[in-house]
Amino acid sequence: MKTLCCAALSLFLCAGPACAQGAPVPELKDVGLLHETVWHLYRWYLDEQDAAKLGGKDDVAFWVRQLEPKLDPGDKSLFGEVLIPDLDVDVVLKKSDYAIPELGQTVRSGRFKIVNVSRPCPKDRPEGYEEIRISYRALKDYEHSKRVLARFPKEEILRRFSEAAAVAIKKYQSDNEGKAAQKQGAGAACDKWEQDIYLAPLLEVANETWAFRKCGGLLVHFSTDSDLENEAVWKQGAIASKVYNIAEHTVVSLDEVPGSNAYMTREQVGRIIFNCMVLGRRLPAIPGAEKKGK
Amino acid sequence: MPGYHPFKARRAFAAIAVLCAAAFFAPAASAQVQDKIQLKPASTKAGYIARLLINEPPFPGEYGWVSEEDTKAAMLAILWVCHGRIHHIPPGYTQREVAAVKSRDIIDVITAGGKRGQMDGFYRDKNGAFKAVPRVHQRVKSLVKIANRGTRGSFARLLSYAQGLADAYIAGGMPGADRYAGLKIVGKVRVTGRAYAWLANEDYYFPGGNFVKIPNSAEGALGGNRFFTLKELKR
Repeated sequence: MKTLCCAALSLFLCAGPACAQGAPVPELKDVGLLHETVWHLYRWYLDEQDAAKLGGKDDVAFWVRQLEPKLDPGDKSLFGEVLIPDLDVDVVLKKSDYAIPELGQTVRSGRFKIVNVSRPCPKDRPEGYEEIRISYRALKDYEHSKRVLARFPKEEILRRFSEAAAVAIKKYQSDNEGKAAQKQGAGAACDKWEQDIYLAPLLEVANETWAFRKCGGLLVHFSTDSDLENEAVWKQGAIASKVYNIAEHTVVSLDEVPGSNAYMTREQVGRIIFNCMVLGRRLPAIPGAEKKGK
Repeated sequence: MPGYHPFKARRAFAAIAVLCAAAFFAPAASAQVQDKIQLKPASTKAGYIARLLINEPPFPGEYGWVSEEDTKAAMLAILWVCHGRIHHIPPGYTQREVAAVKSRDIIDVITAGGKRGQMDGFYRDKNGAFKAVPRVHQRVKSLVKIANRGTRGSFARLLSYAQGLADAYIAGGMPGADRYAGLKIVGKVRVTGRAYAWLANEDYYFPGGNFVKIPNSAEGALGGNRFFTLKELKR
């Protein structure tokens, strides 16, 4: 307790805005990371109205800063923020590096990954952000050249995704459709191909992704604070899977259900299905996979 | 996303200084057997509220995790949303418009709208009993199991904190300040202050109704969730 108090006191002795953020680490200013960030936005968030905002520009501004939230003792994670005012987007990234003693695990992502995308973003550069400008032509060419580029992890990890989806879906059906459906067998009313899942391509800058299953009209969201492509992370059970029933969870606008946190928009769902079915990879259902899991 | 606030830093510094003084001058505690973490039953109001607070924000290793302080802040902010939906309906609004229910009972606020209502997964069954969907109980059970392994750590502290908040609330009051109470303007929009809703992770889309996203600059993102205030209505 006394040691902890001393450590905490020393942190708080660092008074003033300098504690909020320092110069961003070089990784955050890396043009490659910024390209990847925009690629992620291109895949999952942007539409033609956003592209129209960039039309005619010579270059695109990125305002970057390192965030320094108060972390738990021993946590060496890094956080950064990238503002893209021309797209009105605020992106937060994290490079995880901490231990979970209760589980005997180390959570380490090895690189910065996107943990949040939000709007709006300031129109004027706030204090403390460094500006990096990237040629609009270079950005556009990069995103366009990669627009259908699909990368997937190695086969062992794909198998993990398939098994995790099967377990999560079985649990979801059991919880939501009761014992009758469980007896009948998950997906009994569907053709075999409809029970396969379609996994969206993985971007190295993200630590979440989605899968779609035609049978039941289900989406599965995979996420972790670590690295989705790391076998050890799967073995530790550190990947979360959550199932959504598209028909039940979708609205055209959240305005239909103001204040509720239970829904997704049709636009959001459409993007997910596009990434899963058009760009994604079909992972055949593995017989007996739903019996695995915790 | 937590940022730096000079006033809050000084306040926290003072709190830490007091705690450290107590630690230095207090008699050394003898070794104690650590009790297992146990939440109150889900059938009790305090247990039910605790489960809401535990279910929503991340724990170590989960997507959105920042720190114990961040998750605790999210838990308190969620409780303030529930409380605000009863006791701080802004001028020009009705409780039904804000909370989709008219009631002084926090359980009615939490369960409003059913399983896929205002607070996903929390509802009343056909007999009126307050319930949570199985995934909530599975998650809580898993977290309690982890918390009770070995030396008490973040999991145990967070679960205790959530139960403590719920207990304090049932005993008769809000156990902590509302960080959003003084918010008056977001961008060019005048707002009521206080948070009245939250959404997990996906805060790229518009929240609907008169809800206004609380931005990062006002610590609107806590515990992997985005909090929302309301537009101030012209009287």
